[in-house]
Amino acid sequence: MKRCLFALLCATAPVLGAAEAAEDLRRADAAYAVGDFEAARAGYASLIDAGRGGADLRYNLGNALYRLGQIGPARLWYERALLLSPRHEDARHNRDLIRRQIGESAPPGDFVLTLVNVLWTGTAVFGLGFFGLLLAGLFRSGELVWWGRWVTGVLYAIALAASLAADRQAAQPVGVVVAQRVEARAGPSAQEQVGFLLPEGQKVALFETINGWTQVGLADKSLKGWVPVQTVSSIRQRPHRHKPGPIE
Amino acid sequence: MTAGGSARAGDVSFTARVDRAEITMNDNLTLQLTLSGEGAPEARPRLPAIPGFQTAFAGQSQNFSFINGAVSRETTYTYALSPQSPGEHTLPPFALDVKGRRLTTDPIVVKVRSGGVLSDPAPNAPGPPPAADVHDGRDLFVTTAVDKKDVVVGEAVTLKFRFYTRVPLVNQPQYRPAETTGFLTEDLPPQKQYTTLIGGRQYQVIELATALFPIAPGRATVGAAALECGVRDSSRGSGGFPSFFDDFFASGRRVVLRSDPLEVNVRPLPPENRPPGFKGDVGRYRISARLDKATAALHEPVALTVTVEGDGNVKALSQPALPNLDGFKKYETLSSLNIDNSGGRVRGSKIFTTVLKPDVSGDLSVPPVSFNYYEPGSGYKTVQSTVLKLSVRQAAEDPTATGSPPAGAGETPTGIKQFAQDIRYIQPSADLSAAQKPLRKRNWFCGLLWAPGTIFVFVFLVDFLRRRLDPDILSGSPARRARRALTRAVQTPADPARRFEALHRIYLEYLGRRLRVPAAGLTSEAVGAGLARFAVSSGTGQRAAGMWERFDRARYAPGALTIDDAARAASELRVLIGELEKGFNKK
Repeated sequence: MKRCLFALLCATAPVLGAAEAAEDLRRADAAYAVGDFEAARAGYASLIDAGRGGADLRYNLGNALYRLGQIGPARLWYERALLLSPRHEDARHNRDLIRRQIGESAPPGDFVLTLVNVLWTGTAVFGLGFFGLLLAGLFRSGELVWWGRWVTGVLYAIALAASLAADRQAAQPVGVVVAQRVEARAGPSAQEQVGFLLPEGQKVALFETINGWTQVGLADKSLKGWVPVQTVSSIRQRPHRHKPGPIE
Repeated sequence: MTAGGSARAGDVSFTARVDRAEITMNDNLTLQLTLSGEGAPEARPRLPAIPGFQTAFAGQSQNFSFINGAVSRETTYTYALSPQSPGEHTLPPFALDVKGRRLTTDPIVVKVRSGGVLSDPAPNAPGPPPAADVHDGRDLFVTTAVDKKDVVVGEAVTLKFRFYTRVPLVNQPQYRPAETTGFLTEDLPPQKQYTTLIGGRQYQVIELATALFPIAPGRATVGAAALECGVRDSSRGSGGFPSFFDDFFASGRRVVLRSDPLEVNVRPLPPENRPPGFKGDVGRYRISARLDKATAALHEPVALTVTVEGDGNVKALSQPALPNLDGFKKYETLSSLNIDNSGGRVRGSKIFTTVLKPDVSGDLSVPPVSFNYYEPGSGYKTVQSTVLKLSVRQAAEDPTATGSPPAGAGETPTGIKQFAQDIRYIQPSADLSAAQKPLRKRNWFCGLLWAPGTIFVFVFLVDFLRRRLDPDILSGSPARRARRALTRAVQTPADPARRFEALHRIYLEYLGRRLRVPAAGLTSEAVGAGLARFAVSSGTGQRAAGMWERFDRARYAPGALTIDDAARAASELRVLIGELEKGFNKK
């Protein structure tokens, strides 16, 4: 009997959890609607913490943070939403609004990401064509099939190699400045000279971390500097983490 | 002046004088050409080449006198003559044209000795021996003094340089300030001039003040200040105030005066009661803050001005940390400086202006801005500004209130007027299913992408091996192939002749592969030779030859064969192949 009850509990647990999550989401949406952005933020964040939701939920969390005046964390969550769904139009709009507010020139990495997607699509198309012509060669042989096999095979190999190369390029960690007016110094120490200032919400490339200092870079301005590790947060997120924290 | 000559034309006289008739090679000779009288020309007389001397113009002076209503003017031109060689030199007559007449002075003989004592003291040479007080009754001297000799880091110290003189100067004194390594300095103008009595003597005093701010604890040194000036040479005078004639005949003499170095003990700032956020500012300050407007539209820039003013090193004042400004977007802070160094102290203000943009509407407030400093003698202090209020209205409520559309507003080509830009609304009832990786990051999709290439490479390799390498590698050893073929042969239709034919072919192919010769060209002799080459035992060789003959017979007399013969032959061939394999493998 006990075993049966346990099995029943296990079987229904996901359903009950989903209902509870839906209720949490409804409450967070309602809080946002009445202007209680802190409650909305907490609600969305707890759902993401629990492993729920995708790009939309991250976008909503970004909105709640923006309304709380935290444009750095807001940008972070918009970028995370776009990482999951690059064509999320609302997340892109809000992210671009923050970019304009802080005077950021061009979104670094967007071109590379687009290129990666195009290349992988090309790889899939050429691969499919090549595979089809290989199969066709089993049943009928002709000059067209022979040449088609070679052409699609070579294109497939080129696209695959380019995709892998672009993927490596896109794998450069990027983050967002989540503190106000961060001073980027010449070295990993508070004694080093301040090289430039980073506004909250600025997207930066992340490099190495030494003694609590992370090296960041702005590709479009050819700038590199060291900032305290807690002032930037990586866009690539560990599973079930929502709070801006140390570089992952 | 000790030597000279003069000429006169009416009221105008022209005189040439030198300060000494005998000098050394180390000395300079001063030559003065004086024009006096009514109607004297104003042009400087041309100096001819003077053998044995190098000449340099050293300035001119004028005196006017009123006697019985008549104005008399006297102009003196001074030249410095450096001897070029020892011996007796003659300064040639100096000539000047006045009212059509030529005035010519007498030649002057000067004796130049090759060595001797300098007539002018060296710049650092001590002055005359003391007489009455610490300054020994000297006619001119300099002093430096500080108002405090024990201070903390950043505390102001006033350094005063004083120049005392009781003789007229012939040129503008040149001041070289003291070395102040270890201090930040700030001049305290204006310079003061006054008279004072020292040892019963009256001195003219010029005083220069400088504020010093020590930057590190320890013993800091204020170096010697120097002053270089020219004074009239009153060596012929009586020692007191020069008489009119002494003064008249005196010549310029260069004097360098130096003050004594000073030491200041600089203590570190006390660690006790140091407030958090203290950035090292020392002095006495107050702080104020204001917004440039009391009401603003949403996202309309507002300037927050924080002013820190007081006594101390205002130039080095640090920026007060702004509090958490909820509801505002904060931009870069700019600073400006006002310094007032009058009154013998450094005071002023530093103004920090930060542009804020309200992100939310309603009544917003800017919390107090705090500033920490250390006041010598009192300790650490914290001052705060007052809370500032700002009323923020929605931009869309009255878009024309400020006379222009809000930030970001604009008219699109379609004529739609946009008043504000804001983030888009949330996605209500967002999908709660767990976040999925992008398609290209999923394993199955990656597998599909790689599959055509992997399959192609595999097929290519197999084909290559099949075509290029020994077929046995793929189809197994000759014995195994033969055995597989035997199994298939006994399953063929029960036609004894065809079965024998198949067995014969299997036997030939086996031997051909083993002996590495074409099966079609095999003869019984070749088989015998081949087996002998592989050292197959004679018994096995004989059985192999017997099997060969048996198949030959079956080929030529197929009618006598039965299905049982074929089965037996197959069985025996299988055994024979096993025995042959032992022989081949042994080799």
